[in-house]
Amino acid sequence: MSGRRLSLLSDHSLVVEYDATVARFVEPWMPRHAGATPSGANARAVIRISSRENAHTDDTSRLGADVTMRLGAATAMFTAPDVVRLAARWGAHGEIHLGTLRADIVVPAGVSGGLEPDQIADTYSLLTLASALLINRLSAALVHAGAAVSPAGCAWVIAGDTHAGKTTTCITLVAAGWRFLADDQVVLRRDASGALTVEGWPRIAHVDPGWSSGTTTGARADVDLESQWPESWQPSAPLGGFILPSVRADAPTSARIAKASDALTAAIRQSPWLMADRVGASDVLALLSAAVTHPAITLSLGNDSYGKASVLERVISSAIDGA
Amino acid sequence: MNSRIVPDIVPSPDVLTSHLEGEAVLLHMGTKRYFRLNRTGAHIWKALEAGVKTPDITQSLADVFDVSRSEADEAVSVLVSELLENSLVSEASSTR
Repeated sequence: MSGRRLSLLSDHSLVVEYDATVARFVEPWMPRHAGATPSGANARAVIRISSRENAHTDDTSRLGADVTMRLGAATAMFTAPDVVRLAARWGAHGEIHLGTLRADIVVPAGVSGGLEPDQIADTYSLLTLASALLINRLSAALVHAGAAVSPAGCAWVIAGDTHAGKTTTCITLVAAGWRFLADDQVVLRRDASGALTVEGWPRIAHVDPGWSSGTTTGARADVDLESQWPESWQPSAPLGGFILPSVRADAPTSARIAKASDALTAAIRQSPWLMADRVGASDVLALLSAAVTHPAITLSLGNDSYGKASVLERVISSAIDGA
Repeated sequence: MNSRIVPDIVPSPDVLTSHLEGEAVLLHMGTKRYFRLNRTGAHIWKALEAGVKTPDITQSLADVFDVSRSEADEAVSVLVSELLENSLVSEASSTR
């Protein structure tokens, strides 16, 4: 395929290939800084996105109750131990061959004008599913989590459910002088030396627009973290531990040391694709189990630290020092 | 004192386990659910993984956690029921 070939991981082991005709489908999902894959790189896993006239019209409902997992309105169904069929609402579909580490995603050709939100959302979900399942087979884990790098240079994975305060925690720590990897998706893996490492997939963050003034509007606005804090992003860092946030607005912000099992269950909840793939699950569970031997803290986010970097940083640093 | 009738059970092959600091997290790859076991539950589960029969597990629990035999019996019985209910184990034989 002539077109773009971009690396999703620092060692180029996972690449995405697409051409200009599908760029507008793909690029809202692509992590910023995904760089061109050098020729000769060992791209073990490949996701290829293309467009096709009369893309078949399988959709979520036609996959029915046998779906292995859903992400938004996109679905994945294992039709064999190494074969996954993907489907979305508007004709986008795909297939992943985990044995050969290849995924093909097809979007309908002939979609003119701006994309509908459903089309962007479903492509995003299909790409997340494909990359997550392939990453599992690379003995790494895609985790729905943020990560910020402490002054000591260690990555703290910020894992929690939607609205738990992941992005708020991440950007508040960055405002306090930490660096950031990403606010929504990170990859946990072992580097060449065997050390646990966190790589970030940064994108535009969605933050309450009142955050900077310490007010809550209930809305979400796009925030370009790199524009706001230039020079604060870095691609990866050795794992420091886990921060498990939750919002308790009316209570003072506090943090305490968490059990390893707290961190593991949080990581599992934020890696739902782990349980979709029986073949890859053992390795990924072993990776996550090793990761949670690092310190973990539960963080209760109160209004007193909202938009107040020094308050949050002090609470977290104190807890980390005691961990 | 009569022991409860607790079936001998074996972990389901669909279950992956992580033992952490004395506790355990179980993933059931069939139901796509995960479970946490506290220290006593993890002790029982580890014994099941090793193929220990439930009467011996009860005795081991009483010894390790310094509880009475009846308390251990109750703990094993309750956990076995929950494990069976969630298909985390299957019966190796009917009853003893």
